[in-house]
Amino acid sequence: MVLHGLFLGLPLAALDIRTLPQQIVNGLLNGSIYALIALGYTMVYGILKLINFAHGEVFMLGAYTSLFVSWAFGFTPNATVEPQTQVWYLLVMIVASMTVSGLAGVLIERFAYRPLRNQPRIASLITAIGMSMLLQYGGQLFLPNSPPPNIDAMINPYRGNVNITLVKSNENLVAAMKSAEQTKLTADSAWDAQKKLEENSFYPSAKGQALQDAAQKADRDYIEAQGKYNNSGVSILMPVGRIITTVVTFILMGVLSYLILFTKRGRAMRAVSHDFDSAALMGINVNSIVTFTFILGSTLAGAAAMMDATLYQPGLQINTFFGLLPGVKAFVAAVIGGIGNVPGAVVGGLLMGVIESLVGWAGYTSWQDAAAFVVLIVVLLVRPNGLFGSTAAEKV
Amino acid sequence: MLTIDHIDVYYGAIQALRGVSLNVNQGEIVAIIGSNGAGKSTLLRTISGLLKPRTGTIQFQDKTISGVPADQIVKLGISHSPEGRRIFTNMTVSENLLLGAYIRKDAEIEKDLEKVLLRFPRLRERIKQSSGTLSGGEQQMLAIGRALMSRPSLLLLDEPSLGLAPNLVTEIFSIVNDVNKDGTTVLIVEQNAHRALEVAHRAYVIETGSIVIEGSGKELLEDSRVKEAYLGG
Ligand SMILES: Nc1ncnc2c1ncn2[C@@H]1O[C@H](COP(=O)(O)OP(=O)(O)OP(=O)(O)O)[C@@H](O)[C@H]1O
Ligand SMILES: [Mg+2]
Repeated sequence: MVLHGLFLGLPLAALDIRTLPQQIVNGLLNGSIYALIALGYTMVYGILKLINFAHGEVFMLGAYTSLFVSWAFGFTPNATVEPQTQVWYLLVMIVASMTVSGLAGVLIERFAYRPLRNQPRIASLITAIGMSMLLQYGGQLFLPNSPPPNIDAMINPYRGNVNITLVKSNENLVAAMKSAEQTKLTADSAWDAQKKLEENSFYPSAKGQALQDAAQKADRDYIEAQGKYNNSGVSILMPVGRIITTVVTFILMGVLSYLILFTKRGRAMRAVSHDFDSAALMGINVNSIVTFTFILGSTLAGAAAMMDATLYQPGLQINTFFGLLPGVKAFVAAVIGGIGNVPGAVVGGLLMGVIESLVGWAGYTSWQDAAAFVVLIVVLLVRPNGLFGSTAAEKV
Repeated sequence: MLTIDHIDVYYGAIQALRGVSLNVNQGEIVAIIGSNGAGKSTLLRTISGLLKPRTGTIQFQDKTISGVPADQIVKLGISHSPEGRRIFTNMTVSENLLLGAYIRKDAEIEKDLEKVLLRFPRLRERIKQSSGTLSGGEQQMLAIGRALMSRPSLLLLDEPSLGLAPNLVTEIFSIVNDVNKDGTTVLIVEQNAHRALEVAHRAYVIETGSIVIEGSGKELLEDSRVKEAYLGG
C-alpha cells in the first residue's frame, strides 16, 4: 500500500512478476535480522521510554567481536592456509558476540543513561545520540576497517542453496530446446570439421565462413530456447546460510517471547515497563530489571551482528559505521510495529526487509537504503503508534 | 510496630511534610484524614520507601527503614496499595495478583491467591481478563488483593474508596475490617473521613504537612474542629 502511493507517477522499471516470490523471500530473510535488532529498540523503549540510539553501535561491537574471534581461528583476510572450519567455531563466534554486545549494552545503560533517569527525557535522548557518535567516531581510533569474517564459503552449514520450484518450467518448450540443441551440435561439428581442413590458411574460405556463422547462430538459438524454458517456471533460491540465520532468529525470538510472557522475571519486566513505582512496591528491583532488559536487547543485537557479518554480502566491510544502517532500519521496523510492542517489532522487521527488497525489485536499487526513512515518515504521518500500536490505550 | 519520628519530606524545594510523628500499634486500624494536598499520600509514599525523609526517622519493628529502597521495604512486611490503584493494566487479573507475591518463594502462594479470590469473588470471575477492562471498583479490589498477596504485617491503603459508589464504599470498608480482624495492621488514608473514623481505632488529622489532631476514632468523630472541617459540620 505504502509502495503504491509512493511510486505512483514514477516510472516503474519493467516489473517481472515471476521474480516477485524470490524478492519477497529475500526480503523476509533479510528482515529477520532487522527484527532481531528491532527487539532491542522496542524493549528498551518499553521500559525506559528511551530510544537507545547507541543500539546500532552495540550491534557494531558484536560484529567486531565475531571478526576478531574469526581471526583467532585463523580466518584472517590474507590467510594462506585453508582453515578447516568447524561448526563450533560459529557457535563460539555467536556466543562471543552476544557476550560483548550484552556487556556493552549494560555499561551504556549504567554509565550513560542511569544517571539521567530522573532528568527530563530529552537529556537521555541527546546522551543516546552522543553515545552513538562516540562509538562510531571514537571507535575508529581502535578498530580496523576490514572485510568481514572470511569463512562463509568454506563452512559446511553455510554452503549451497535450497531451490524451491513454485511453477514447473513449460514442458512444451522442451522439444524446441532439444531440437535447438541438436541443430547446434550438428552445426558445431560441421564447422569443426571444416576448421581442420582450413588449418593452414589465415582467412576462412567462403564455405568455412558460412559454416562458422551457422554454428554461432545455432549457439544463440540454443541459449535462447534454454532461457525460454527456464523462465517459463518460477523458483526460489535460498542460500543455506540465510536459512540458518533466519531459523536462529526465530528460535531466539521464541525464547524471548516465552521469557516475557510466562516467567516471573518477564512479568516483572512488564510491570516495570508499565509503572516504576508500582513495580517497586511489589518488591521488584527496578534497576536490575532495566539491566536485564539491556542484556536481552543487546545480546540479540550481538547475535544478529554475528549472523549479518558472516553471511556473504558482496562488498561488505566492517567498520565502526557497520551498525548505522541496520540500526536505522531496525529502528524504523520497531516504529512500524509500534515502538514498545514486542511482536510488532518482529513483524515490522520482516516488513522492512520485504519493503526494501521490493524497492529494489521495482528498479530503484539506489533507493533501497532511503526506503527506511520514507517508510518512517509515512508511518509517523499515518499511524504514529505503528501498525499494531494501541500503546496510548494502555496508559492510564 | 511503626514509629515515625519528626520527618521532613521535600519534593525538590517544596516541603510536603513538616516534623510529622505518628505511631501505629500491632493489630490497629489507624486512619489519616486531611484535605487535598495536605500530605497524606506523601506520608504513605515515605513509609513505603518511594520517598526519603530529609530529616527524622521511621522505625518498623525496631528496624530503621527510612532510606531503605521500596523494593526492600516490601520484604520487611509493609505493603502499599497506592493512590489511584496503579494496577498493571497491561496484564491480566491473575498476573497482577501474582506480582503482589513477587517477593515470595514459599509454596503457599496458590493458597493465598485462593484466599484473595474468596474475599473478592468478582475477581475470580475475571481472573483471565485484562485488568485494564475492570470497573473502578473491581480495580480497587484488585489493588487491595494484590497488596495482600505479599502477606504484609502492615497494609498501607491510600484512598481506597475514591470514586466508588456508596454501596461499594461500604463493601471496601468491611473488607478492610475483615483483613484487620485476620491479623493485618492497617494504616488507611481517606478523604471520606466519616467512614474512616468509624472503622479506625485511632486517627490523625494532617493539615499542610503537619499533624494537627490525633485521638481515637470515636473522639475525632465528636471533635468540633474535625466535624466542621471534614464531616460537613
Ligand atoms: N511529585 C511531586 N512534585 C512536587 N510536589 C508534589 C509532588 N507530589 C505531591 N506534591 C505536593 O506535595 C503536597 C502534598 O501532596 P500529597 O499528594 O501528599 O497530598 P494528599 O494529602 O495525598 O492529597 P490528596 O487528598 O489530593 O491525594 C501537595 O502540595 C502537592 O502539590
Ligand atoms: Mg493523596
